[in-house]
Amino acid sequence: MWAVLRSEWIKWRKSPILWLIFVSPALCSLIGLLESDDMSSGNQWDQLLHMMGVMHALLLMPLLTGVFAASVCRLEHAGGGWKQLLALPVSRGAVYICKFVSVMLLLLATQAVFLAALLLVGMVKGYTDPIQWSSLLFSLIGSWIACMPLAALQMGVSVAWASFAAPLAINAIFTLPNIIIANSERFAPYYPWDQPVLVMLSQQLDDGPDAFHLSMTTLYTVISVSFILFFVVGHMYFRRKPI
Amino acid sequence: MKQSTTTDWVIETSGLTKAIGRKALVQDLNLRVGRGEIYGFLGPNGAGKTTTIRMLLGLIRPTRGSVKLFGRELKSNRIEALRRVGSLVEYPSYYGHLTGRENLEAVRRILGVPSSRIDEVLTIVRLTKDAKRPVKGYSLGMKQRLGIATALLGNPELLILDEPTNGLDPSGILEMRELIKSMPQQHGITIVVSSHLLSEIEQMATQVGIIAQGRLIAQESIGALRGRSKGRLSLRVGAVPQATKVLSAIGVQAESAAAAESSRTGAAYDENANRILVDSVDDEIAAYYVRTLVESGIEIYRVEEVRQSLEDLFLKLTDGEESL
Repeated sequence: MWAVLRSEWIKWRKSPILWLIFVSPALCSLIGLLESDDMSSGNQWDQLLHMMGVMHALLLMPLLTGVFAASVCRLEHAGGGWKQLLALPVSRGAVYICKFVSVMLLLLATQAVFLAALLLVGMVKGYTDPIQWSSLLFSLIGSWIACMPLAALQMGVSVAWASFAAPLAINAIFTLPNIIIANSERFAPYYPWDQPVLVMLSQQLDDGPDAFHLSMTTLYTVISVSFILFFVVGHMYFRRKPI
Repeated sequence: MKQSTTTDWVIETSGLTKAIGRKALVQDLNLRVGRGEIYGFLGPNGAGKTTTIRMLLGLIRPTRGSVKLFGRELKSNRIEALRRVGSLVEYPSYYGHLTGRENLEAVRRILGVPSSRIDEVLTIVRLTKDAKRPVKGYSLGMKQRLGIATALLGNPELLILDEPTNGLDPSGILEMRELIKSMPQQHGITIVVSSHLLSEIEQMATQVGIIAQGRLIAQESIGALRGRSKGRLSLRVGAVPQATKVLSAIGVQAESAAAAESSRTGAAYDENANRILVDSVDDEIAAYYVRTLVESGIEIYRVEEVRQSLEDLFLKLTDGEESL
């Protein structure tokens, strides 16, 4: 397993995919810098996280998840890599897991860069409030974990489809209505594209006067169950797929 | 066929079948590949060669039948078996944005062989000079060689090469052939090499399996296959019916070339007019035939040996299959 992951690293180390981890933090920093701070109460860092996080978690993270999943599969689809890779002494299951882990690691790197960008923007703006590390890290790691069902879903689609554009198009089509669906307390938790933003902003939302009134327990349950479901189905499909 | 226990075969398939819907792509294949052989897997395009090879590597599941590699079921020992196999299926696989060396490194990490092995295989396929360039800039021949290098990386005991000369220029084909021929001698490797070109297989294989329409229609040593395509003696004579009669009087079956041709292709050609064919014989006996004919007053214009090429045999074998 470790060997397969190390082999994956060789492949995307020099791939342009890697640069995508900077896209969202860069865009969101711009928003963070341009938007004026709300003078009302509340920790400055929390406000900044809210400003930058909406764009990041609502739109860019779901899109990036799809792009990363499609990219790690495209590496193999493009040059006939699957048949070479799967004729090596590795189990298909391990290959699938490593591909998924690659996607999650790329997303984790994105979160790390996002955190750095957030701190940088705060420093530029000269924030004086103490940084609330626990809520900051909860938001970033939580939204990362909330990407797992979507990542598993997109992995399955990307493995099945040799085309690079098709899984991305599907992902984009389902990402765009995020804002509308996020406002529906009935559907939002069940919508994989909305789960990252719900977790990322859950703390702020819970405090707010008109929060989504989501039961976080429901959200976490849905995330866990749907991740397992998507992952197991994709894994099973990949193990039987004729190459 | 050689009698032996199952463990002597590097590859042994029994009743191997792959069907999609009702259409059988490969049917009841019983391949036997012995150790140290260069097994030429010959068949026209679309005969089922690649499908068979994909089943041998566990890339697709057989509909029926089984594959044994090194005497053990592939199904239950896939990873262990594949550790001893190197393969190149259909066209070379590569990661275009990586250099040749990085491509090998990606595979090396999975195989767990020492880094020095990369230099060794690069030397074998003579890519050392180009190893630092991105593969997307390689010619097809170089990609093909990189594919061979990848296949050799894990020191395989069995090398499975699917159409390795596809798309190569003549010098590339020659190079690939020399490379393949050198492997069993230098490295003790067993090789399965598929091709739709008989001439290619003929020049490197020690054992041949011919597949047509998904069925194995012949499997024997190249020598035995050549033996089946024995030559005939062609005589151009003044009068065919008399000559046939004279020869049959001395107990020789002669056949009019025109009749033989038309029975095979449905057409007779002028060049076959006045020609008769007899089974090839030694010089003295040939001289005896000629003397007998001449003494019977039949004129002889030409006496030639006609070799039925392997090509003819191949066509006959595969055509025969088609008309079934």
